[in-house]
Amino acid sequence: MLTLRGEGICRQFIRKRKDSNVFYAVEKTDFELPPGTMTVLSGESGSGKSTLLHMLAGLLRPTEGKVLLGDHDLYSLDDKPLSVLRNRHIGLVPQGQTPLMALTVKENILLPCTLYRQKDESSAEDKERKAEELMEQTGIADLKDVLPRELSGGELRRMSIARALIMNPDVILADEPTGDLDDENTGIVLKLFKEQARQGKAVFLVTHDRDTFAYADRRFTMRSGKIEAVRDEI
Amino acid sequence: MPIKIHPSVRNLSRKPGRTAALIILSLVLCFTVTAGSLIINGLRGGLVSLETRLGADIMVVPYQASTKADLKGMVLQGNPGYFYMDRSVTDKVSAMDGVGQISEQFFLATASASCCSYAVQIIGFEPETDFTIQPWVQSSFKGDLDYMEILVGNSLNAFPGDTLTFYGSDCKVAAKLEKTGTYLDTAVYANEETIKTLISSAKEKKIFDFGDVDPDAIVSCVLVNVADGYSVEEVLNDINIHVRKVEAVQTQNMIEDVSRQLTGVSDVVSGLIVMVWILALIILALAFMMISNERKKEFAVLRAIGASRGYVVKMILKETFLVNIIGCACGAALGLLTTVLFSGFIESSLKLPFLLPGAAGMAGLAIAATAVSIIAGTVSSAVCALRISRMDTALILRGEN
Ligand SMILES: Nc1ncnc2c1ncn2[C@@H]1O[C@H](COP(=O)(O)OP(=O)(O)O)[C@@H](O)[C@H]1O
Ligand SMILES: [Mg+2]
Repeated sequence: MLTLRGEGICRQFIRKRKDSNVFYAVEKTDFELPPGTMTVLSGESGSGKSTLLHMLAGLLRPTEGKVLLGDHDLYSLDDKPLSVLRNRHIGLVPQGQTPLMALTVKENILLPCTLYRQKDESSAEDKERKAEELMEQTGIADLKDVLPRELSGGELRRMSIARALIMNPDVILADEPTGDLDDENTGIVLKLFKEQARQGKAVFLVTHDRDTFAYADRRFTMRSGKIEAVRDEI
Repeated sequence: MPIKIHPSVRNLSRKPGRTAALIILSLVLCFTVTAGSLIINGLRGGLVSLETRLGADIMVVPYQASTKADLKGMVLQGNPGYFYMDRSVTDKVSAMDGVGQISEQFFLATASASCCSYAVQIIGFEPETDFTIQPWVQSSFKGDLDYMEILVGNSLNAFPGDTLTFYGSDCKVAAKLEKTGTYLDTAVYANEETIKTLISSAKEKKIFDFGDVDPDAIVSCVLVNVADGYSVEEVLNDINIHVRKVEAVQTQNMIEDVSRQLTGVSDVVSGLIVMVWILALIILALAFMMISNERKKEFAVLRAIGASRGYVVKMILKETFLVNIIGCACGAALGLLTTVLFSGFIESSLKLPFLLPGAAGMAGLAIAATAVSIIAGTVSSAVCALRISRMDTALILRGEN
């Protein structure tokens, strides 16, 4: 298991204000995602949660600091090796709905396996089986040959989660995965993530949904780019 | 067996309307170059063919024929015509300094003939002296034409063994000539003896007003090749000064006329191609841009699940390449088909000689046109693919925030 760790990372954006033209969306911080742990970060909209998550995912270069996945310094890598690392080790569930409209549910889920040559080609059947299994777990097995436009919001989200899990990543990053879901779907999704943490993965949920707090092993809040650990139960 | 999913193919097949529109755009692109370059090529081929077929330095014709533009109409546009001058012209011309080869020709036009619904030009030549028609005829007909035997141009609906009747006289078709793309394709050829018989029959039938021409004492045109060491202009001037009631015409001048018109038409066609291309490429680039903007989020998702920039570029290029290859193949085929089918129409409406290259030449042109169009289409989409692959994934994934 590789550990994902931000060392002294921060991120500035340009925005015209009276005093200064730049501001920190995420202020300088060390942030680590330990394996086997479900980490939940909550905070108001605009507090910098997605910015932090994207930096950790290798999609947004920090203004300062490093992001390490095991020994790999993500932002010192070229695009190709960085992409390969993300493909193999990081399962990202982006905010909102993110299906590829031309592909069926099953094809969407299997897509990460087709981007690069797999180490052993015989794993194709394993991947197929794994996809079936994930669809079973997320309750969308009946929908495998259906196109995304026929799916509900909850089903699409579950598909997106299954897609993030197909490569059996070490780290799972999810941006508001329950934001637009009803209670039933929220329950299903959170149990799925919790199960992944129990299997030894580092799970990172970014949310402003209080229902997630009960599932958290570690909790943080974020306000105007500053991260604080939450020690007590609410 | 690795798992194979083809997002590019799926994107195309699951959006048939959009795909069809893109295919049509690249079809237009390829159609215009294919048809355009074939037309330009056909015109050039026609000119070259005319140049070789005319094959003489100077044509001496009755003065009226050159001024009434009968000659040009006949040679350049294939309007059947006839004109005569006294046969003594030949002797006068051949007596001049600098005249090398010399041969007589006799023209007759038919009102209509059994082969054709339109008037046909009959050209008679002197087998012993002819140096323009026989060399060309040789590839389709070996040996000498007998009395009342004729050769037919490639465009006429008559075949070896057929009998054509002109002014009540039967002529047997000995051979059909190869295509030249010029007025010669709609003409009928006979030797001197035969055409004189035909002129006599025509005179008897009083279909044309020949006045009191004596078939044995007339000639339509005297062809001259200038002897070595003399300039064409010199000989031409000599003839014009010393031989009365005739006009010596330099064939090169007539060809230059055609060549000028051809350049004009070529320029127009090239201009059209350029315009259509600029338009189609802009529309194509815009269409790719719009489509990729619409799918920006999908590309960002691909990046999020670990696709490299190269993968995204390749995927977009593969998609556009598929569109281009289908569109361009159809465009080239359509371009070929239209030019071949309408070559007669093109010829008659441009009033210029028109000779398409052979099958291999046309296929070569079509393949080149396809390649150029595919490259252009791909380049126009490559710009967009590169732009998309460099987009800020994080910004797009934040999306509706
Ligand atoms: N690419 C960007 N350019 C400028 N400002 C940005 C950019 N991305 C995020 N921001 C700003 O950074 C702040 C934090 O954004 P974000 O991380 O998306 O917040 P959250 O996910 O907590 O709602 C917001 O004020 C947002 O407007
Ligand atoms: Mg956010």
